[in-house]
Amino acid sequence: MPPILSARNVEKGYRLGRNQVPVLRGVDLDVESGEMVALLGQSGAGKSTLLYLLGLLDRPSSGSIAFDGRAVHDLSNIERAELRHSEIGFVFQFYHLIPELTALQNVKLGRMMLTRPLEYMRQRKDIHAQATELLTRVGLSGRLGHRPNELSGGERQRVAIARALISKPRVILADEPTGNLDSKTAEDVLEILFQLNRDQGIAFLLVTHNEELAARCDRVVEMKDGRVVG
Amino acid sequence: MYALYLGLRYMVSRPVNLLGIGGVTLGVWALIVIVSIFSGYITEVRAHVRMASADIVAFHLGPQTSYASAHSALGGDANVADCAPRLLWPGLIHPPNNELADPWIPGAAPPSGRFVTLTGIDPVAEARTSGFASWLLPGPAGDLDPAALAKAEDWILVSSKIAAKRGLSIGDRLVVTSGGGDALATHTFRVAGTFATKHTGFDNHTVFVSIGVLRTLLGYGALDFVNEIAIKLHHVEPEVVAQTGRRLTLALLAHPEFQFSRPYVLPQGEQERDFLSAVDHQRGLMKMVLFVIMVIAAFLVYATLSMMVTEKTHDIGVLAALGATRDGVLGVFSLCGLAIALVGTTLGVVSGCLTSIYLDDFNTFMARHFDVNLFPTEVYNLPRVPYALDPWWIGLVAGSSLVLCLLAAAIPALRAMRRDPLECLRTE
Repeated sequence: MPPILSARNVEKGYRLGRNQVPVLRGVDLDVESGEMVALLGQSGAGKSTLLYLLGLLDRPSSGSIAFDGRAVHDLSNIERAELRHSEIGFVFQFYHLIPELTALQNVKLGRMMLTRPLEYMRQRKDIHAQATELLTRVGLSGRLGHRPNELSGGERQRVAIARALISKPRVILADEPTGNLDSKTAEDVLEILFQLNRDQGIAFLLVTHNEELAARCDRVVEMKDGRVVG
Repeated sequence: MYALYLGLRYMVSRPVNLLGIGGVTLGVWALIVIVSIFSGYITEVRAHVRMASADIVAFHLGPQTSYASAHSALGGDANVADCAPRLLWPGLIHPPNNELADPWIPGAAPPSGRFVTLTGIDPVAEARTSGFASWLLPGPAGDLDPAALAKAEDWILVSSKIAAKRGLSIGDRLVVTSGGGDALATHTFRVAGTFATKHTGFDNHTVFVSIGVLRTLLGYGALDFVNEIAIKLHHVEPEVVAQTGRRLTLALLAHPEFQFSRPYVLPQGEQERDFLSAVDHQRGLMKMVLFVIMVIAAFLVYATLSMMVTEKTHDIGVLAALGATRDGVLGVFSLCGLAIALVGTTLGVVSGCLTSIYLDDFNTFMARHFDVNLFPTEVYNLPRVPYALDPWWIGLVAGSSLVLCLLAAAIPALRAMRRDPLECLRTE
């Protein structure tokens, strides 16, 4: 069975004026289905860049990226968007919820990406029920109609997790999901992530500075200066 | 679905969008209201001109044209139903004992008179060919009868406007000074009645007298001279009237009596063509001026959406992470602009139509309660504030508004579409 995500000899550089600044220098990484992998490293090590490449938000300068054994780095923008929507979930450090939408609407938005208006209208009751169930599962049943500015940091992150889950992804890429939370709230959020991993077999790639958190994952991948070092 | 959903959400949840909506509403409202008032005015004036004229009139017949000769040239046309002779001459009306000095001494104080167009008519023939009978206002003794006027001699009909301005009543004596060549002559008339056609220009400058008396005053004696002939037609469709006019002009030109004059036969309204063209031209200029408001409204839409795209940088990144395509991001902001344009245009069309319809009531209310006359109808001799709502124009304004706003929204929407989602996510 092929890994759910795979990077082979991936390089990525950014142009800064006349200079090409290398960020990733030949990275190899596999994330197996249902595996919880921590990506550890100092700031500037290339963790987030690798995460976004694996999440198909960016293209590598060279090397290949595969999803479930299928090369995806050279897919068209529309194909990449479709794959991102149906198979990959994102959780960000700063939540990135849409401020104009309530918690429930933010979660439902995740199901609107590939749905036409009439199709959505037909399915709206199901989608509503599913979003409500996800928010209930992350402990926000009483906060459905609240906007992000009416929620605490931990609550916002839980909404973001529910939003990532609504399209039933096989892998969730989380960029320092607890980096902006106090330790108690961070523990609650992590518990949700680990539970999802255990109960639903969703693979996780967690970018973190936190070695304690990394130690709780199935595997730790350490990066330094754009390379995997351990 | 998300483009529509988010576009509408962004539109309703951001108060700054009210600026764009307000601008579009104002532009559409102004274009509809102002143009409808101009159009209404033109329509009213045309109707008034039509009311104050015969179907068609032979002008410029020359100073000494025999009515019998002209009638023989015109009467043969199949579309001519009837004719009436007219003799138009400038004159001065003034009260008795206030005559013009004879000989008039340059620099001498003029009498307190009023220059008018003396219009000599045969009341019975005039009533058959034009709306003359309907212009006559009932007096204390009842309706004026054109046939009774024809039997009298020294009668004069003044418009209700002139009568009101000069304090004239039925039965008053009025002196008319006029004449051909160097000789001036005066004649005293008795005001037999008043008339009103609603055509301000006509009413302000016309008095009717017996054509026979006017000929005598001008020294023509018993000669049947005319310089205008009112003509009633069987068929009055605009094209038929125009064709008949051309035919009758040629008929007059072919007549030996008119070889030294240049007669022409036109609908009376054609005489007002320059004035109506001027008003129409002003309407066109006003459209251009008001269109600038629309451009400003579109700029407001552009500015608010540009601001939104800048503020929504993170949202663009999140949408991409959730699986949105670049076209989808373009759709979010374009639909937001379209929603602003749709709401603004709808409000503008509805408020513009309602304002046009109820402007007269509003004007009356303001005049009655606050002594503010926004549209002085008496200046234009109109019974009410005119308006004419043209569906074609309203459609054009609404369509232009939508297209302009969409074009304005497209610029920031394209900028959003081109944003790198990764940069958007990383932006602090």
